[in-house]
This record gives sequence, structure tokens and C-alpha cells, in this order.
Amino acid sequence: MNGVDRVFFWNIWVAAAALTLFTACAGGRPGLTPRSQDHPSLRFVLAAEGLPKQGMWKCTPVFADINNDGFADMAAISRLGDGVHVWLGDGTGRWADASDGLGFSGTPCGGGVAFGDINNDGLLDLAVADHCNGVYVYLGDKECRWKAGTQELNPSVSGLELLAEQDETVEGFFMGAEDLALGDVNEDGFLDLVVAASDQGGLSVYFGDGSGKSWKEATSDGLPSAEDLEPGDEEGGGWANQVLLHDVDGDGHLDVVASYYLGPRVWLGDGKGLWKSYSKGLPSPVIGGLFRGIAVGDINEDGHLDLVVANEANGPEVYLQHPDGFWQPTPDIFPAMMGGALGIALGDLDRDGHLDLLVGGRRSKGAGSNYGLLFCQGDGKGGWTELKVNQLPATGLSVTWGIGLGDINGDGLIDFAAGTGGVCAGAPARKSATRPKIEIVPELPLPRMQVWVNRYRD
Amino acid sequence: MKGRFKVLVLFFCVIMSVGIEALADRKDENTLKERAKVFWEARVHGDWATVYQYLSQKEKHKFTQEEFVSSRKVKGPLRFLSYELGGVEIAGDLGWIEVRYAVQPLGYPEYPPKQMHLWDIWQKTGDWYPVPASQSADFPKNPPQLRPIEEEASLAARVNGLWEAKEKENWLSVYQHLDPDFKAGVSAEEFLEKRALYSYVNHSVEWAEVTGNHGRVKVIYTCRLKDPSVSKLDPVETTVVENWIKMNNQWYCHIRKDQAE
Repeated sequence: MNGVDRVFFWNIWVAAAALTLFTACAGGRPGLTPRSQDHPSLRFVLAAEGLPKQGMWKCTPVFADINNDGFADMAAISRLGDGVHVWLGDGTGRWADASDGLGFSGTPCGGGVAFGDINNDGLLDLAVADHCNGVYVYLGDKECRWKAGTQELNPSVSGLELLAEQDETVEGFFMGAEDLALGDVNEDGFLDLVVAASDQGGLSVYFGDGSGKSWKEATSDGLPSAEDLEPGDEEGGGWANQVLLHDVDGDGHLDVVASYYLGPRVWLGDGKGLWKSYSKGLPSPVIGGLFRGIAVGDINEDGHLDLVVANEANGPEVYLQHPDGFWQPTPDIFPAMMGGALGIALGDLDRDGHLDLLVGGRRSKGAGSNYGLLFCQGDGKGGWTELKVNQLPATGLSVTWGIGLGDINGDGLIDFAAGTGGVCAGAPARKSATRPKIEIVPELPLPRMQVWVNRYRD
Repeated sequence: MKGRFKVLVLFFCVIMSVGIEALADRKDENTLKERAKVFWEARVHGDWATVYQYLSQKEKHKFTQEEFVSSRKVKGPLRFLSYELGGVEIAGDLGWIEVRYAVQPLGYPEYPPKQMHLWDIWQKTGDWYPVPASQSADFPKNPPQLRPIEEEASLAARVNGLWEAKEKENWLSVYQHLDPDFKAGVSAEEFLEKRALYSYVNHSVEWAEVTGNHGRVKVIYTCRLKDPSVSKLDPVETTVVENWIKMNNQWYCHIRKDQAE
């Protein structure tokens, strides 16, 4: 495509223009220019004994107490390694592998994990989305062993038949699941699965029957799928990098929040398994799949849940939920982040009563392991201040895929896990007079699967 | 007297420097011709190991010398029967050497040899190397002496006009630079309703080549996506070879039908 082609690009980016307008309108808000200074009381200590030092932990790790010992345990899935893992935590930062029975025949590709009591036996089970292999459900027992209840449930397959009818060349259609969320979306007392496809297929909902072995796929439910495309969708349903369930509009029913490939999106649930788009004001960038991590919380403390989403080019973006039912973008909350973000989490880490932001991303555009774990202190009004936190690496990590929050030692402070690893961009091969010399950042000698314990002191 | 002596020294220096430059050019031409001779001799004699030494580093990475020699001996696809070198011209790090040669498909001796004539393009990257066929479109086909310099300057000015209009987002002016066939299908109003995907930062016209009413122009430009969601991405440098046509004494950027769609 040459330059003239580009001029003639027929898509009209109305949403992008709207975003510019909103951004301009929202200018001048207080506290939106982050400063870089040390946090006086917040510090974190690495607590990763027993966790893998290598690998590509391409997921957002999740915490839950699966053995009822009062301490958080953890699950994560790797790409191209030995796949899904569960570790039992002892509250001191030591982790014991408890992955007996997990795994699948194909090569793992990373994705998402979620704990929940799927078969209603009082024990936590594990649902796994794998980019290449689809959805697996492992039922947990009292000994913290796992048994597959569901295997290779592939959301993309739901759209396969239709796509094959439309296009005979659909052979080689990619199957898999990028992420999933567990929740009782039809309010029948059983956990259901909301699954994001890894390529085409959109979002699929599987109603559970309390067995963990049998799932009924919802159809024509209002979520984007190969059969029911969102306007502007040219990818046959697309994928989402992360999917969450929250009651976003406060009506008592779970809603779907996703970093969908067209942009961050919300669909309101009616408690019966039907969904309605609720994304007015959210961006639709020219690049698909630009957004990775996504988190929900009442950032400006107005009683409405807001969104923060990791933009792989621009860094974290906040969208405040307006009472009139649209999302209002705020000005750049992290102007110093020049290399984009992947992992993101919202929580009151410094105990000041306001939500803070943890970002896995790149402050600089340099090459190599220039990802870091960065902290933005929230002021409860939508304002942020970037603060340096003792011990947390601001750079020197390989790709920071996801950040999961939890209290691993029961001290009431929010700790977190970060899934990292993978090939970082090297120096560009092509020389250019306009391109500055790029520094290649070496990787710090830290484990790729990390847990950081919050040692906040007043 | 002193002043006159200074003028004389200056004059002498200028003459010397021009002379030295001319000598250097002649030396460069001889070097290129020598290398071209070895290269073409090797082609005609099936000495593919020597030909391999003339491949660019990028091509050498694709296959070893043994693989290359074996492939050429078995698969060809061409058998070079004879060659004759003609004139040489050098402009910067580019060189053109006139070659008349005869070829035949390998393994088809009954097929009548085909007589070819071209200006073989070479590039100086340390030493002189032939430009691979896959990259030849990135360079002017003919040496400067065979090309209409004034017409090419006129085309280059027109191309600059288009790219400056893009940089200033003067889309009406951009529209006016596009070929009449395209404009017959898309009105200015329709065109102006479209939104550009990129904003253009800067450009340089590397060369323009005119053959009759057809022009080819190489432009290196820098652009960035025009989208607030990716505002922190660096501008990207891109190269394009554009086709232009001259109609009614004016140059227009030619848009292929599939591009227009």
C-alpha cells in the first residue's frame, strides 16, 4: 500500500475523532500531571521462592485459597512451557507446586485462568483458557489435585460452521481461547463461562450445570460472535485479550467487560444470559488488538464503576462511567509512559482509601527488557501521581503480560503477582537518520513468575 | 601582486580538484566495468561460484554457495550464451552498464536464443555489486544521460507539490494532483469527505525517471497513524515508488483501479 492508498483509506474514524474531542474537553482536570517521586511508605518485597525462574507467563495470574489454610494460592499459564500451574502459598512467600492433573496434549500458548467452585462441592476448581487449545475445566479435590472435567471447549468453533459456509477457504481456522471469566450470568446458581476467542469467534458464553463437565453454549445473546458481528468488525468476531465479569451498571446482574480487539468494550447482562452493548465513548483505534489488560473500579468515587485499560502503544487509559450511560476518557494519566502497557491492576495498595494503579509497561521506547512494574497513586478524583516504589523494578523485565492482586499472607495489604517473560523487541535492523540510537536493556536476574509482598509502613 | 598570486593559486586548486574528481570517476567506471566483465564472463561460462560472490549479503544468507551453484546448474533457469558490454555511467553509488546478451532456457537447446539489451544496474556498497532483479524497480532503469533531465525535474517538482500538500493536509490540492481517470470516478466532494489514516511528517524525492508520458518516482516519507490511541508511536519511515502520467502537459499521480477501491 503506497502513500496515496493511505490517503484514500476509506474507513472513517469517527470514534477516534470523538476521543480527541472528549480528551480536549476534559483538559484541565486537577492532578492529572503525574510527577515522579518516591512513595514514603510503600515498598514491596519479592516473594517468589518455588516459582518458575524461566518461561513466558503470558497471562494474568489469579489468587484464591484453594486449601483453606488462610493463605492465598495462585494459578497461571505459560506459553510454550509446561502450561498451566497451581502453587500453594504458605503466607511467607514460599510456593509449592500443586499442578498434579493439570495440562493438556497440545503445546500451551498462554491465555487466562480463573478459580471458582464450578461443581458446587465446596472446593475450588480451575478454568483455563489457552490460546491454542481452547478451554479446559479442572475439578479440584481435597488433596489439591486436579481432574479434567472439560477439555478442548473451543469458543472459536462455535463460529466455524457458519464461517465455513461463507468461505470455503476457512480451513486452518484458528481455534483457542484468549481468556475467560467465571460467574453465574444467568443466575441459576451455577457458574458459567464467558470465553474470549483467541482469533475469530468473538465472545462465547457457556452455561454451567454444576457438574463442570457439561456446558450449554448460548446463541444470539447480544455478544459479538462470528454469527453476530459488531459494526466495523472485519475479523469475523475477533478476540479479546482479557475478559472480566462485574456489575458495571449496579443493576445486580453481571456484565461483561473486555479488552476486545476493536477496543475496550462493555456489555450489560440482564441476569438471563442476554447482553446489550454499553460502550458509548470507548475508543475504536485503527489498530486491532491494541488493548491488553483491563480492570474495573470506582476510580473517582462517584458511585459508578470506571474502566482502566492497558494500551500497548500509549499506556494506561482511564474511562470514567458517566451517570448518563457513556464512558468519558480522561487525559493521558501516564504521559511519561512512552512504550505502552500490557498488564494492569486497580487496588488501594497504599491504604489511603483511593484506588491506585499498577502498570506493567515500558516507560521508554528502548529495546530489550525494558518493561517494568510501575505505580500510579490515585487521588479518588480521577487524578494520578506516578510514584517510585522501593524494590519494584521500573525497567529490566521482559514482557509484563498481566498483574493479579491478592493478599497472600492475610495481613490486609494488597500484594500482587506479575506474569512476565518472552522475547522483547531488539534494536531495529534498519538504520535511519531520523531514528535515535536505541539502548538495549538487559533483563534483571528476577524470576519470570513473580509475587511481590506489600510491606507498607505508616 | 600578492592578491593576483592568491587568485592564481585558487584557480589552480579549482582546476586540480575538478581534474581529480574526473579521474576518480573514470577510475570508478573502470572498476565497475572490470567487475561487470568478471560477473558476465562467469555467467556465460557457468561459473556460478564466481557469480555467487557477486550476490548481496542478503541473498547470500538465503543459500550457501554450494546450494546456489547446484541450483543454477540443475534448475537454471537461464543459460547465458554470450555477452557484450557497452557504455558505463555512474551517479553517486549507482552505476549502469550497458549489456547485450543472449540467453536460452536451461535444458531447452532447441529453443532459439533470445537477444537482450539492458542497462544493468549496479550499486556500490564497499565494492560494486549488481542490484538483484527483485530490487531493480527501486532504481531508475536507465542512466541519467539517457533521461530527459528537465522533464524529470519538472516531474520531481510536481511530486514535491503532492507530498507537501499531504503534509499540510491540503486534501483539495492532493486531489488536484491525482490522475483524471481517478477523478472521473471520485468527485472532489467525495474525496474530501474521506479521512486520512496517516499524517505525513516529511518526505524526500529520491529520484524521478521519465519515459515518454510515464514517470516513476521514488519517495521516502515519514508518517504516523492519525489516531489518538496510538499517539505515542514514533513516526515510521517508508519508501514508495509511485507511477505518474503526463496528460495535457501536466503530471498526475497515477492511481490503479484496485488502489482507488
